[in-house]
Amino acid sequence: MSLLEEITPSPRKVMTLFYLVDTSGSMGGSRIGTVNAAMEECIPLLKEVAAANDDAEIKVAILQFSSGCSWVTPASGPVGLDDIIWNDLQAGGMTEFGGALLELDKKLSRNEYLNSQTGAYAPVILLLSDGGPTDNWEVGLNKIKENNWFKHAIKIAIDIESGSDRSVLAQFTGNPEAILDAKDTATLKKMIHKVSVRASEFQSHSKASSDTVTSPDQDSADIVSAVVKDVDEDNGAPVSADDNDWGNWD
Amino acid sequence: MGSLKVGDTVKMKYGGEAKVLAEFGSGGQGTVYKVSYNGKEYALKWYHKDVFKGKEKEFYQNLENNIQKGAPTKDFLWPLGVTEVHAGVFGYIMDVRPAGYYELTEFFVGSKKQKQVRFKSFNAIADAAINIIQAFRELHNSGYSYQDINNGNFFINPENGKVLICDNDNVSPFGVNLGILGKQRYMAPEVVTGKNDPDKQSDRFSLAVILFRLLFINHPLEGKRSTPPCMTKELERRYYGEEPVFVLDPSDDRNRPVPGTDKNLKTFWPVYPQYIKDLFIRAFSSDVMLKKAPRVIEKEWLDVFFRFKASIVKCPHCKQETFIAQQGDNTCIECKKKITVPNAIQFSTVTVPLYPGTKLMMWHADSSQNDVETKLGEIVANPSNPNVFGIKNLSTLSWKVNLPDGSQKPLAPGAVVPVKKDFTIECTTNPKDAGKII
Ligand SMILES: [Zn+2]
Repeated sequence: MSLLEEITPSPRKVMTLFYLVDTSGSMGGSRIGTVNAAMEECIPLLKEVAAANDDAEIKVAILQFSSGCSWVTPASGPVGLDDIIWNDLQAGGMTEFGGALLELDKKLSRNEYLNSQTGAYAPVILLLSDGGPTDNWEVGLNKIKENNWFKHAIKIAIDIESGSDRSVLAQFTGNPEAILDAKDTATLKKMIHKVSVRASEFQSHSKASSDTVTSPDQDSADIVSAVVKDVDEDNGAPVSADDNDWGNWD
Repeated sequence: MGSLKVGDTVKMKYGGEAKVLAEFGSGGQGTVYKVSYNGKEYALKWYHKDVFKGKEKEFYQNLENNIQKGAPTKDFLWPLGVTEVHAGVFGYIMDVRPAGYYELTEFFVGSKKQKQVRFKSFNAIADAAINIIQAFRELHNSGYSYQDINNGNFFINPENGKVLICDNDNVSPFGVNLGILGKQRYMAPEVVTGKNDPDKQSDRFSLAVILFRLLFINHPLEGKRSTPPCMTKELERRYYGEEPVFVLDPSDDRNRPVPGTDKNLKTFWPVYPQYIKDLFIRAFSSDVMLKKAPRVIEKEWLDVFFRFKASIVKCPHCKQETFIAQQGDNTCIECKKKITVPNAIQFSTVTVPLYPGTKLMMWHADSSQNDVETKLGEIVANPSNPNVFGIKNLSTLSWKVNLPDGSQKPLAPGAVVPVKKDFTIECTTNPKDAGKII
């Protein structure tokens, strides 16, 4: 056997993609149906991105919250994309967002979900929600805001059919511009795909001069604006015209 | 116009239309489509809207200039024509990448489901390195710098080391930067810290990273010290910019490889000839990385990789490829058995040990001809006595062999001269290029 056959993959830093999915009663029907379909299709898309990514190994952890919260992915920790089997989520119950944040805070630790011999990048946390919290969410948010992993994370929220409390989402992301407005379920599906891919590629694109000093909150907003542009392009953006085009009709 | 659909047509600036046949793939800057233009198939790179952040005009102009100037070597998949600007969006066409080439990234990653691409031979590695170095040497000689050298730009054939360099749209003349800094783990320290825009010197740092990873797969600057629990921008700036430390720096052990992730380094660092390792040690020394000493230039890399290429032979014991690093005793990298090499040929700039399979290249005799392809001769064993070696003339010229007694004999193409100490062989038209057997 030649030594060349003993080559192994280069070590990569782990980048964990957390999905926080609201499965409260209001998500019932087409909303949760869309989330299920979008997530199922998203996994093969992410595999493609991950295959071409020498900078980060993408792992995924999914937390659903309603009355209480539970990990959809194995409780032992984030899994590789080859190991995800999507089981459809069911909607029902309250929106205990604060409890979900406390659970996430526990796992954002080297002793829990973020243990990696090859190092890690700050995680990406995507929140999908369609309603305001029904618990004392501020306790959870204040706690997790002290977590360094959370501070450095890319945090993006998708407001499903404008049902959320935008000020809560803005406090979660740290930047009101890091919120995606999924005005209908068709847009929601596109946004889940595009934001997942964009966020996974984040560590491995060529940098422009302006990218090197931005904060995580700013990076989150930049990803959001890129996703909005992608979705517009897909829909065939409406023709725009500036004032000059109109001429003077007075 | 945003993304294109199959059947869409795009007007080319200098006439004709490109018709979209299929989508090849999408990236951060744009989408690549298979198109038909003037009855031939091309790849069209179609930029996303607003990727140039106000520099569209400069970018478009630069693209046109590059097209006019032409590719530095055949290894570049160079832009061939620009499209007209359609609602602020444009693109360019280039040749379609032939089958058999894999993105360099695929040589680095692998999983249960996706097999890592591996070179089929060390000779293919040497050729890939030589092709890449020569491509950048010619690019720099033409007055350009690449500015964004990274694992996504290279497509390599693992069988024969042939290379195609893509994404040549950021290539710019000296002194021009279009706003792209490069990819974090390939950017030169002075670019990471913001001291300089990318240029020829920063290309040379990135080239050293690419060459290191061709041979050793792992990243040269990623070890214990530069693997914090969570990599942040501040830390990236420190480990790739302000204080980079080579994982195998002989005088600084702060950043040794992380145990358990260093199998490639453990396998390959001990077996490569010392002269290759020495050049990497220099390229990744603190002084050279921080530009207190000059970067390794392309000519120096070529000299080393041609020396290496000549050293690759088949082991007589295990029949695997191994390296003959020097005259005298060598150890097979595979079976660890001894291989004794009695003679070497001494040219003006390099000494090549002579063992059956050794290839003598024009570069060894005369590198000033800038010829990276011509093979002059190869060492063969005498069929009736395998311990007697000879040099076979593979060139189209008759050689002159000067014997120790002062006489001279011609050696026709295809003929063999025995390897004998003190023979001097003129294998080009210039007597200065002669090699002396020692
Ligand atoms: Zn052997």
